[in-house]
Amino acid sequence: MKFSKASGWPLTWCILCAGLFAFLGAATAGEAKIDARLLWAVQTPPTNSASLKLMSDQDIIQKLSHYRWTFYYEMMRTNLLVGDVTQNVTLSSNCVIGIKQITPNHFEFAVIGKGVPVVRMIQKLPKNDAVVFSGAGPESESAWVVVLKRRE
Amino acid sequence: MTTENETSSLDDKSLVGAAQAGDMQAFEELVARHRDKVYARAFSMMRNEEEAIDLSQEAWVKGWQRLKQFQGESAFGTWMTRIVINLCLDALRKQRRHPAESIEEMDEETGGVERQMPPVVTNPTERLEQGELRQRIDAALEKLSPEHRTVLVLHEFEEMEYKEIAKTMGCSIGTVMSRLFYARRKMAALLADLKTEE
Amino acid sequence: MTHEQQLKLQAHLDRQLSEAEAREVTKWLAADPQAAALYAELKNTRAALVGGEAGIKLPETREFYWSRIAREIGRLERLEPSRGPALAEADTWFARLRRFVVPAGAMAGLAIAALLALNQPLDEALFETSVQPGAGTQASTDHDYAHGATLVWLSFPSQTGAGSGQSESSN
Repeated sequence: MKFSKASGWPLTWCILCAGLFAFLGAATAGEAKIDARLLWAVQTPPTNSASLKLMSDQDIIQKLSHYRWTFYYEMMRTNLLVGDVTQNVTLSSNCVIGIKQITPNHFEFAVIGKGVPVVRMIQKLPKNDAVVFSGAGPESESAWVVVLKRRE
Repeated sequence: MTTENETSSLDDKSLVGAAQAGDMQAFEELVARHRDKVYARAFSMMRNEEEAIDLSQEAWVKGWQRLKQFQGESAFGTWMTRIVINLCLDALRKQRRHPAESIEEMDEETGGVERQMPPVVTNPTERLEQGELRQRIDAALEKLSPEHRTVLVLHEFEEMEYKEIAKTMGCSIGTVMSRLFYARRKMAALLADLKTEE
Repeated sequence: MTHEQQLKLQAHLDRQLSEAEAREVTKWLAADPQAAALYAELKNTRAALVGGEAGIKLPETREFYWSRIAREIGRLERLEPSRGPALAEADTWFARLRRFVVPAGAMAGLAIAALLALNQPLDEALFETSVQPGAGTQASTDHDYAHGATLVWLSFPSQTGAGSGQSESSN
């Protein structure tokens, strides 16, 4: 390529440099923002439902549409900035979640219940996707549900 | 530059002054104090948590950029809610799929079916716990159209007068009054329906 | 009752009428039960909405919420200096040298990036989903690609004798 004052070389090289930086940016794993919620799932509202916070996030309700539960009450919610060092979040006295970013789009999840490792999982998690851990609740016809949704 | 302990003891006016001089810590304290109110206003209008978070954060960024224009003519929190309201209105306009008026909007001019509805005689919200009332209002607000919800939010929560709402929404005072009437009657009917469902 | 009359009732509630008009409406309300009922309904609705936003709290921590605002402010402030008017470049030896150095540097950068890319495995193929349940735990996984969700149902057969996650699914 000839460099001359009259040529369009500045634009061409700017595009090449932009491409280089975009590649480097994509290859670098920045911190991911993950929204963590602990929900209590039931089929019929409990008698004390007025004092509970009904979860109304439509995106999460859709993500949980495979389940048969009708009502989800939000018991705890927090946000994490997750990088290549495991971030632990205590959602309840019985539930701790550990999350670590392995690649820009893959994360390692660990669920610890009552101090005992319950499950470890590596899963791809692009933006706006969610990983959901759940199990039977202490009462019949209920379940605990942990939703980990990636915001950024 | 103020420290975190110092900023938390300052009043809004002092914090605004410091922020206008470039003190980011002072601005962060203002954000912390008024973030719930700004977010609540955005959520009332957009009815979507993520959109409300995004728009409220955008409002704070704009607030920082325009801070020198704030002269204390209103409370700082009110100034910020006005910024987020305008951002929400822009976002709602972009979401509108059909520029043509809906049947609901045409009905507004004549009063529509709500004009002919008999009044809801009993107060559907009495004897409700505050939390339960808020849930019902939430559910009812969800069912209003964006235009009716906006006029209700601007009048009831932002406490704007008709003239100001008309200027903000870009419509006539008559349209504001009709929309507000329609929205209130619809809310009354929805709240009454929610009560009778139980 | 005409629509205009109804709007007048509303304006009276909202204190948008003159004193004379307000007195007229007050007399009207005392004489007309239908108008009084509508006025009461509008008043009740307004009262119900008072403090309607009080329970709405931002669902993010202070630091989390602020971090994005601060980053955006920083980004915009860094952009501003570059928005200044472009200066005409003098045809100096330095300018000529720079015209060579910038593209040469970019070429070198691209070459290094290409080498790194060739040596690095693709993100997609690097990891597959792997689930390792702990001792005494059963895990069943379901993927809802349409809604972007991976669902893991955990059960502890030794404790409850409960079924697997599929029994909890509506499908």
